[in-house]
Amino acid sequence: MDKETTEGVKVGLELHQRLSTKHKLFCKCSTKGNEDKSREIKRKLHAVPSELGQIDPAALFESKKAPLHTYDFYKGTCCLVETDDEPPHEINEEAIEIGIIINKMMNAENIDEIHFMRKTVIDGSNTSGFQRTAIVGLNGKIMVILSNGKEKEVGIQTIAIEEESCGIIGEQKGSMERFRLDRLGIPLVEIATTPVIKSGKEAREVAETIGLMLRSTGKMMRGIGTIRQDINISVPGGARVEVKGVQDLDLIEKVVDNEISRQKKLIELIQKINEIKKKNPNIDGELKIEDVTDIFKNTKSKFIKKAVEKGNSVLAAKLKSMKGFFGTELYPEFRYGSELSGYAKTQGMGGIIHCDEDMNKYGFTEEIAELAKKLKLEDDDGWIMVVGEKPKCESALALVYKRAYETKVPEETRRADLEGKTHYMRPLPGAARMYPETDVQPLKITKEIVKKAESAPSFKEIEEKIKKILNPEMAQKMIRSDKLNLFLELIEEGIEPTLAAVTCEDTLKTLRRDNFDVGKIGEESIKETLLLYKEGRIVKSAIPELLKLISKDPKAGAAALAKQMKLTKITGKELKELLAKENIKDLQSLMIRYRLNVDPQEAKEVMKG
Amino acid sequence: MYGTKAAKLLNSKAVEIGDSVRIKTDRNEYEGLVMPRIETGDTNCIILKLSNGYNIGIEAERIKEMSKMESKKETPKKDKVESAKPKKQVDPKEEVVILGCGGTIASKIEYKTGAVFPAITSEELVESFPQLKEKKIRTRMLFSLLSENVTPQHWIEIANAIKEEMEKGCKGIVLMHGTDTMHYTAAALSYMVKTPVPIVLVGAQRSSDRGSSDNMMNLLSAILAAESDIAEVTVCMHATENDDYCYLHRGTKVRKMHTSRRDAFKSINEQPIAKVDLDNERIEILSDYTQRGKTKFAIDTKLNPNVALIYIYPGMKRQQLKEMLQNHDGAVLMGTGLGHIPTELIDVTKEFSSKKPVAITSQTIYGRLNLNVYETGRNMQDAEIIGHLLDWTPEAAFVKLMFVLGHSKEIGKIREMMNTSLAGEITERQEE
Repeated sequence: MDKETTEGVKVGLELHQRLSTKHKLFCKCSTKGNEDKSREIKRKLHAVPSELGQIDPAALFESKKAPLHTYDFYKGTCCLVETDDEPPHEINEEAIEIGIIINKMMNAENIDEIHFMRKTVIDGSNTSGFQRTAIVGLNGKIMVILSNGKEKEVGIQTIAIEEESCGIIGEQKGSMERFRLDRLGIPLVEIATTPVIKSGKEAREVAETIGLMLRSTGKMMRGIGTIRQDINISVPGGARVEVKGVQDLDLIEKVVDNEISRQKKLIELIQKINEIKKKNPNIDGELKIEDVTDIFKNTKSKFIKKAVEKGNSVLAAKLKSMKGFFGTELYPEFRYGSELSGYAKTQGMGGIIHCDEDMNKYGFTEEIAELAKKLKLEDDDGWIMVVGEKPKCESALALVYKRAYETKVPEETRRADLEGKTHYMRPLPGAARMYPETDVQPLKITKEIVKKAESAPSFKEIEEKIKKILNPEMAQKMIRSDKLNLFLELIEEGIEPTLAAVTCEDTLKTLRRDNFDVGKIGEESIKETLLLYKEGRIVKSAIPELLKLISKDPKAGAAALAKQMKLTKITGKELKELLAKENIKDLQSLMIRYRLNVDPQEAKEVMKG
Repeated sequence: MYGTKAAKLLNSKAVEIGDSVRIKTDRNEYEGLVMPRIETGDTNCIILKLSNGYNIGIEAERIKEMSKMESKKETPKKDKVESAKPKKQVDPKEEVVILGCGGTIASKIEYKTGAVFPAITSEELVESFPQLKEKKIRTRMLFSLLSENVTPQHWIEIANAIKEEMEKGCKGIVLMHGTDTMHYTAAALSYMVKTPVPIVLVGAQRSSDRGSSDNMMNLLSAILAAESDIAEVTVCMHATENDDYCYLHRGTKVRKMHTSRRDAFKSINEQPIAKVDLDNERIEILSDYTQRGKTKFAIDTKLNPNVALIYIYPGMKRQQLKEMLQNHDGAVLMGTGLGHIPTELIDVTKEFSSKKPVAITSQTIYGRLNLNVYETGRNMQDAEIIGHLLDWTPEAAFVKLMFVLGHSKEIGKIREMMNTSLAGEITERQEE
């Protein structure tokens, strides 16, 4: 993005990464999930008033939405602490030590005494109604090498250790939600940056750097969902918007750029809305909801017909002077209509139908004239329509109407989808959401804890080390690689650094390009393969071949596969016998037939006699 | 209270708890509110609440500079307008009286410090439970105690308050109480009060600050029970670990059986009286109960609290038991199995029980006592220890002995009363 478009844009990241501790943060449950479900628990959460007798808007919003939740309980990974039927045990110091290591790595100041807080969360993802969280480090900074080669200093506001929430399993619209309890209480680290990021690309690069710094500690959990980012974004004249749960690094860039565009386009639309409001000062209070179910009694639209047959209603409302607004694109494939639709969805609607759409996609056209009559539409008036249970339709229309004439970009929490679009979730939480966790005693960070943590190498030290053992290009690649940890482990095992790096980066990439399912090759298998080579049981050229086999049969084990598929090395006496038996005289014909079994260097020497 | 070093620093800068300050350490600068020191941890760490809501502890020794920015802001007092609104006139007989005795259910949290305070006024109660606005209730706070601090004197105080409310007229009574000793209080009221209306004790196992607290469901269920036909002293608490329904337990048969679970309260040796289904506002009867209006109201608060409750253990010495018994007017022993005590202790007990009552209960909690099966039991019967064939809980027996000793000094009469069910504490048949 050019300078003009990034002027005044403020983006801050909150990275959450699960820690690979043995136990959870406040109990002795294992952090390694299983599928051994033993029972279900059903609970309600209610909004609690703050000290001023106010109920937090976000909390109230959630408590209205979801009255009863189901929690799946798994053996070995859940206990009464997770079901909120027992107070927390002692703090897992292993997690705090990891926090101290990260403090050092990110130049943050250690907190002398850690105080866990309760952060109110009543969307059901925490059985207690709050998340336990504590700051372990403050005011850090990191240097991020951007892709344009420049270095950027990014402040780290806070480093916190907190409890992971329950995993959501399924959502039954409107009321019940199902969660899994095994994820609840796994320790995670939250890194919050200062809002110095200017674009989606930068956000991605900062997230990548933080991610690999965390991984370089070797104490992070791996796998899908173990890392996720929340992003705070604001543009001048816009508002602070928090986007939750971006799991994929690749999406960060898109989410940020989309959000910047959304806010900017909204600011443009607001000027027009202000004009409408100037002419119609009371418009906010003029919502008139019409029940138009009768009009659709004999509709050709299959989905409306089906809904009406089930006893649902079709409700519509006029939006004065708003014709054409809904089709306004806020960013590619996301219009003002999609924006409003997000609000209707929080009330259990599938979405909204609005006047700027092609009704052929819903399969009705004939009813539009009648609809216009009923809503008393004038030329520039728009309309919206929802289908569903009547009371829910009413609250959805009220919410959408209010949002449609909003003259400020609303401060809110949004959810990112897999395409990098964001959707309205709830209002931004207020400040009243944090108070001390009195069931957990404060933890003094002793000199011993700090000493232990500080003996871990810093990221800079790791960088230096890698630069010494790899060529500059490969070193850069490895420092940024998500296999950095594996690489460090491999050289620890005595694998030659360049081979380790080439295998982790280039070989896997080539295999992926050739359509092998690289995702199935576990880090353990890569290690096992390279150790086979180191021990002289396979030759170098067999490494990619063996990895290919592993991707097809990940459970078989590298050594077994090598043996089974005749990839083991032919060497020494065996090699001589082979040469004699097959009467091979030149290296070339040997290598044509036994490339995957014979080390050419050795063969050359044997042939020389 | 802050430790010496921290206190000295705060004093030297005239900083008080709640003031906002700027602090410099050797590395950074922080702003925040000074929080009160919690008792545990390093009391020389100053607790600072940052603007993001987090608390952190910073060692006083590491603070290079501290300056006060602003004095403590008083929490704005709420207008009393709302509570001053004229209340709709309701016939007192239609109201459920909510009596407050303290405990988790009636506590409020001060969010800044995390300190828990008892809700003292009725307004505070309604504020914590907005749903109460729609109910025909009147509230009265008797005292505010953690239930481990409730004494027999408090039971009498509660009984007298019940009497006053009955004289004004009411539909039923709900008693908010800490859960630790709720079953003692429930038993005491069962013996002391004959009631034509429901008297329902209720508590909470999860603090009221959290969205998951069981306080709301328990209290609303208790109110529903207090409006019902079940005119007994009962305890209303979660029936399961789910937020689905509550059980109504008989006051003399209920016991807290878990340190922390929501469904900690169990009926011992009988079914609960009823299932209270709040969602459907329905009460499903599970066992016999006394109907509303069948009993004439009466209270009788004569108690002799000088009773010992003694847990018998392997290797217990005669002298130890003797010392525990002496100076008491009666004793309840928690024996083993069917109700046994070591043979060695029988003569000490016999000596005491020749003049003063000794009752036996079982550490197994569940099941009926039987002193016929083993020789030890037969010898205990010889020693005139009360309890053969009874199925009472230790606590119900203990409170009962206080009540009985308040009414008679004659050992024969005492034994007879102890063997007779006064308030459902003894049942003769057990089906499960």
